[in-house]
Amino acid sequence: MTNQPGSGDPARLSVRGIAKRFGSITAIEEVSLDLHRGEVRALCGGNGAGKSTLVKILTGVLPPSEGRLEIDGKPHVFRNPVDAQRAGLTLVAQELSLAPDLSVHDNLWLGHAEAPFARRTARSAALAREALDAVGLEATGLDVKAGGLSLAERQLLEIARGLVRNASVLILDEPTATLSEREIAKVFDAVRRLKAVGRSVIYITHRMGEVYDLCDSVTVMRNGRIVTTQPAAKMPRDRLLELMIGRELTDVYPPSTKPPGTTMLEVSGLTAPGAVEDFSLQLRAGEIVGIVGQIGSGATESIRALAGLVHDARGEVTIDGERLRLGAPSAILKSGIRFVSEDRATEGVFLDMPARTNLVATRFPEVSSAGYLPPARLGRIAGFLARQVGFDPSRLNLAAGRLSGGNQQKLAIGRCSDRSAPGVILMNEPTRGVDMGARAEIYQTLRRLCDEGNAVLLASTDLEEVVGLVDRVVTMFRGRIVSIHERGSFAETVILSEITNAREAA
Amino acid sequence: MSVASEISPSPVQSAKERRMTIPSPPTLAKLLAAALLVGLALSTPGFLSRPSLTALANAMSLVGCVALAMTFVTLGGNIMSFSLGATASVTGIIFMALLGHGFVVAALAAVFAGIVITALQGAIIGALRANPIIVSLAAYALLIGLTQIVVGPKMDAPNLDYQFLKGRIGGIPISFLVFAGAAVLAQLVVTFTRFGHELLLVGSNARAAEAAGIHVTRVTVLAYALAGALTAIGGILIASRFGSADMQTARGFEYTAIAAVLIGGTAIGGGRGSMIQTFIGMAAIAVINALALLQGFSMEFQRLTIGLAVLAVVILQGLGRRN
Amino acid sequence: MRNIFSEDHRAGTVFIIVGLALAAALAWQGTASPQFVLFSILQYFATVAPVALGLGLTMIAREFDLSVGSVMSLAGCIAASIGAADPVTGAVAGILGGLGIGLLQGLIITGLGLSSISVSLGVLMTAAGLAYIVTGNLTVSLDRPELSAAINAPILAIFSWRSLLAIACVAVSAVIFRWTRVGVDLVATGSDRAAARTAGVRTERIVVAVFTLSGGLAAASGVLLSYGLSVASPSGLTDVLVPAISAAIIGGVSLAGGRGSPMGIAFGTLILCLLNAGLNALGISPTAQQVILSAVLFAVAITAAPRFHRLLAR
Repeated sequence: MTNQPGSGDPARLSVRGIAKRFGSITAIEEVSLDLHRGEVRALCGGNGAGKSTLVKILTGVLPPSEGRLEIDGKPHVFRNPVDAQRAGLTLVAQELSLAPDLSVHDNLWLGHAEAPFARRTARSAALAREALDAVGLEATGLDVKAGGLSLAERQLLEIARGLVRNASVLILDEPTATLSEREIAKVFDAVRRLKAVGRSVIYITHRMGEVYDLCDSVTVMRNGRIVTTQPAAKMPRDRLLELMIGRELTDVYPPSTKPPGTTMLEVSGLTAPGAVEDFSLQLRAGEIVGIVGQIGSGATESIRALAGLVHDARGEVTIDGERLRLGAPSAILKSGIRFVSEDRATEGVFLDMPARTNLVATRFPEVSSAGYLPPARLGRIAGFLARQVGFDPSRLNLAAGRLSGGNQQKLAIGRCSDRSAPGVILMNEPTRGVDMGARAEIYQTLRRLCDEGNAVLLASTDLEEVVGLVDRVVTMFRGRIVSIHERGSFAETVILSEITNAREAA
Repeated sequence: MSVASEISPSPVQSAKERRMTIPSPPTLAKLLAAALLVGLALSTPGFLSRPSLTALANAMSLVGCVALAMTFVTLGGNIMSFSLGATASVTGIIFMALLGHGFVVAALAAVFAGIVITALQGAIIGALRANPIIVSLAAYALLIGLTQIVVGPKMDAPNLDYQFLKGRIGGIPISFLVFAGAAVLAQLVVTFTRFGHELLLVGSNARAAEAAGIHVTRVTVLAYALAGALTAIGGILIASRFGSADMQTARGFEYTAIAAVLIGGTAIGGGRGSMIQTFIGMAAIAVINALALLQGFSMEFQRLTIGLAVLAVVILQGLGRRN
Repeated sequence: MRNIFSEDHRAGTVFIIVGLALAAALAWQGTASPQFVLFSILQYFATVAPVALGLGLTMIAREFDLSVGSVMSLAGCIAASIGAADPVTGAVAGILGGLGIGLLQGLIITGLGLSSISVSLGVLMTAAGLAYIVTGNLTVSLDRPELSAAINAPILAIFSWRSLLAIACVAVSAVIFRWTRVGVDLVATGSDRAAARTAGVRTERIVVAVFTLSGGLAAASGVLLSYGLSVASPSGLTDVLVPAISAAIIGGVSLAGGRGSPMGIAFGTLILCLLNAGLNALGISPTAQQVILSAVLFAVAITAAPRFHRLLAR
């Protein structure tokens, strides 16, 4: 049942020629779309397509470099998120914007432009209750602390906040990533209710089923531009898949040239309480294995556990036959395992330090003799490593914080390359925040490292990347491995359905 | 219809990276201030006289050792320690108390005590990631109280074994030579040892350092231990200067010490800086104080000037990072 | 089985127990009349509570105002210097000075995106310096015995104007915190700054407000303390930073922000005052009390440390 918007209405939201540039890097350009009352629009596209930049502009977090925005025919300029909120645009973010120490009621009214001065009134409580009921949180009390809710409940809470704000356009960013079928149904109900009262929804997702079950139309973005906008009924499934995954880019992924060698890493029964359960895997020299799953699937956490960063992780992990002690990063590093974090800024890169220092940060034990470590020695090593990963040596003295995401990631990977002693490289989200060109270089570096005898185990939420790059795919859902696929038997739709635990027709 | 998609090229070297060679306004401001100071110093009558310079050297060396100690704390990302002044006093008292057994024994005991006092704090901070400010405040309170009870308010020198520290070599006060020597040694540690490199990384980003396999706890404890040793050296110098040790003389030294560290250019958040910079910062403070005195300003303005200088440096550092 | 050192109750539980034990010791000693004991507890409360409240509020916002101690003594010095001629003007000047310094701090921190610890360190040293200049490096005597008597005169046997003002500050803050939007926004600002901003909270205004308040409260405490003792000293009449931090953390404020409340802070201050009175009653010397207080602060720092639970898990 689709709601055909009348052709005479001014669009609820009209975007014309929006572009955003950061210095000489263009994030998005020539973005135009019209959203009508009561329309649910799917917004699809891979990592780096520009969706989040567009959303930030729509919600007033970033100003556009070019372009116009109109709501119900009236032009608007958003100077901050409050302006966007007042204009009726609200975001239900993937990284939730709830204050964990505040109650449900307070979170619903947090930052509301027209919130009452008193913390709570009869009216505010009533509206809060109404919104909660509308999204299916009838059982949740107004005074429960948000930090104690499950991920799914928090997701619904965020949607409820949009209702409290009387939003005319809600932007939902992958709201069902971590939800069960029943909870997804609740979210769908909530969205349909919004539509029934004339609100518009932009629904960001990469799940095919949702596009067709829920949405009226779909917009696909790629490389910062809109590729197409069409009614869902007129878009065949495989066409959409092709647009989202982009077959022609697979020549960016270098294939493996050698058969895998001996087993380097053996994982048995790895468990991280609350995140991963009974994870078992064997990793052989020369191969790239990709763990794919959504947020909360345990993919990222398994990698972190293997890197020694989860202090209560348990399980049997042996590398080259030797048992590994989990929970201590320094011990892990000694046994030849290297780790590239998904959170570069907090955990991977030393932003104040020059690139040179970043490259050699893990090297100190090997290159110092009895504690003595002259800077010149480090400089030479840095130069060598920079060339290994395609990092411009003339930029070695720049502070890492000033480099692009791609270059920062090269530094993180450069730390891991060491021709003398092949080891296991663990990576989380290897190309998050990295532009296409640098990605290609990183993929080539990874493949070369494997050809030299290393083994790479990476976790990623980017389906396209995993499918294109790796030799074996491990799918995870809710902390457990669903299955392991060998190259040659990757079917994107099968993998997609496994990580979302949905039964979808291919 | 095939989707025409271009792989966008690698980003052109961004404008920011090209700008590295032009000094930013905050750096210009600092250079200007330094030039002003030097100019003022050279033009003030009496500044370059021997008594004035000797007094300057003496004034620098006492607090200077504590400033070097503070640098180890700050570089590691722990901002500052409020207990260093009290530690200097306590180690001075221990030194005087044991002087009867000879200079060497007394000095070693004092240094050992300094190391233990601060290393324990370092262990709590490093292993538990406890808040370094609060731990140092607690240590400060503990030291003040305990010393009062155990030792009493003052400890006079039992003999004159320490007198040589008040002497001079070639006209330069020995205490200054000790300070300068300590600065050089400390700088060598920071630049040429694995510990030094790791300390800077921990200060820059402790989580990333841990993920890179650095033993954050060990590095923190060692940094604090070295700080304790340097503080003890300062305590010995202070006690020797006056022939007796008490809890009052070094009171508040940590404030001047952190001022020296910051004015010298070390980042308050850690990860950037050096001992030589602290040495220069200490010199700047001593020069400002000496000039103020020579120009006829009363003592009170010293504290205000130093405080304003710290504020200015913090603001400039912050602005510099935003660029 | 819930660990007694669980998130919300860590430091507080231990010290409630200690505090109560000492209260019992007090009751047992019985040398002084209960009214007098309560009076002296509340007098100490009047000194520490406003400062702890201001500092605690900045901590709830996930910032830290190191300068409260020197602002307190500076305000006392300003008030005493002017107050000899005109006490009301002196008091107003001192408090306005505190508010002004706090406002400036807040603006610098939010306007330039700086760390509050480093800025408040600079302000701490500057304010201390100003105190020396204002008093000419001397202890200023107010010489208004009738004023100090009036400020410290017992009201209803256990209160005084000082303690009533402190209680009023706590009460007003508690009401605003618990019953208005400002309290919600404050907790959100400290709990998750980024989330709060995304949700639309004006976090910068909150930070500026909280620092202004912290300066004003510290100044108020300093002014009244100086008037009450009829003297002001640039080096400070009492070390207040350590008790203020202890009181806040005992009262449930977390260094990580987002937790705690004015009532909790007041409670923590009371515990501290009880400790102080109890130790006095037991005849323990002030120096020994210093040692005990430092042990309290150590325990607080250790139990509030992020990795403390790992130590327990071993």
